[in-house]
Amino acid sequence: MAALHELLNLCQCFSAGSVASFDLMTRARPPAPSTLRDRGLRRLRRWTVTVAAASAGLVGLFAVLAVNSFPGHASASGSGATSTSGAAPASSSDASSSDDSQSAPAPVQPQPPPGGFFGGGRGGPMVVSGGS
Amino acid sequence: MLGVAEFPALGTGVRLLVTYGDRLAEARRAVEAELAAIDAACSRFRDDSELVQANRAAGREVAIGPLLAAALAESLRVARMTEGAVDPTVGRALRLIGYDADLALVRPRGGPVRLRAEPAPGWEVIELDARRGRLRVPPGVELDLGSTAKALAADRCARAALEAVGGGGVLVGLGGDIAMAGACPPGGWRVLVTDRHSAPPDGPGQVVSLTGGALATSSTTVRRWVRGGVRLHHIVDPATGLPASEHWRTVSVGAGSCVDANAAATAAIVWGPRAPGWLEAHGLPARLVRTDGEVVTVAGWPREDART
Repeated sequence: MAALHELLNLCQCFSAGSVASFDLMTRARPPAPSTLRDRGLRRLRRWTVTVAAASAGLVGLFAVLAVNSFPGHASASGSGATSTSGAAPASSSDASSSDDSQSAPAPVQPQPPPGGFFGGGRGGPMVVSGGS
Repeated sequence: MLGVAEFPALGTGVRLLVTYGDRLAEARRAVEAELAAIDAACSRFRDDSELVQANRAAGREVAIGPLLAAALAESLRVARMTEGAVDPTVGRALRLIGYDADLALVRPRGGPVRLRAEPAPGWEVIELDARRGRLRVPPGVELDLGSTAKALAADRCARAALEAVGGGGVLVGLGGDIAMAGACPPGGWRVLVTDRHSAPPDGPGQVVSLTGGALATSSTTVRRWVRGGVRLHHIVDPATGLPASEHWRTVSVGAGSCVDANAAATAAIVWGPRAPGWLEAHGLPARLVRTDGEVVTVAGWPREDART
């Protein structure tokens, strides 16, 4: 009797293992080529978007770093600052004004004196310009 | 009636002229305030100046005030304008040739100094954010704003004095640097152009009349000293870190601002023979005196014998 009971148990185990094996065989079936292609395209699109976004971010990051750390550069607004641009027709004295609202960059080229720089006055000097 | 005041500042002499003579006191107060602010920000000889603190920061970024930021921005512009002939990074070179204090203290020292040709680091190494008021000077680099700061002071003083007076015309002479603002007196401001700003009014040189803008003179005949038998002067060639070779002893330049005039005059001393061409090309009237006394004028500067 005991031996019969043991045999029945063995059959049940075998039966369950067969079902499991069948399931595994079902899952291991390779997907259709079109599914694989679609999956690959989706993955490629995700990578493309990610790389593009990362590139744009890095470009922006390096631009900010360069602007803030380029040696010898002076920022171009307020407090009489000058910029590396030399095109604006403002005088250099404007650039050093205490008026913080000014933002025109000072020209890199020297500004010649105003027209009619030399007057026609006569008489003794009022002031001396010499080395000091 | 013309108002005239004279007083010392920034290690040199100030001469203030206003056409509204009765407002001279207000003009002088405005000038003195500007000069005090410039000295506190830009002096190389004051332990408590912002510039000295920045030089001592050993490469750290430091916060600076708007006035020093403006002066540094101008010094960088001047360096670009003069192709590096006037460079704020010559501070160490000046110290090494013995100019590390007010000249009254430098002259009595007679001991030798070790002269070594060593180019200045160059203005490009300075990291300045004038808008945010941040400055980083690399380790080993010492800034000197000497002539640029003095010229900037003259420009600012002229504007401040005119504003304080409320009209008329103002002339500020700061050492050899002259800045004018407002309307000039009839015939212009009469200026003796010579080697030394301390020369008497009837001394040698040329008298010209100026109607506006600015005039600056740089010379190797002043701020000279002797160390170990070697004669030195204060205009350093950034390319060598040594006093510039003396082709011109004195150069006077007219420009739209004193900063530009001073920069051009100092650069001309450094450049030597190529200076007249540059000055002419930029339309800057100038008078250059060779070491042998021969005078060269360019860009419309009146002839020596002309009545001006």
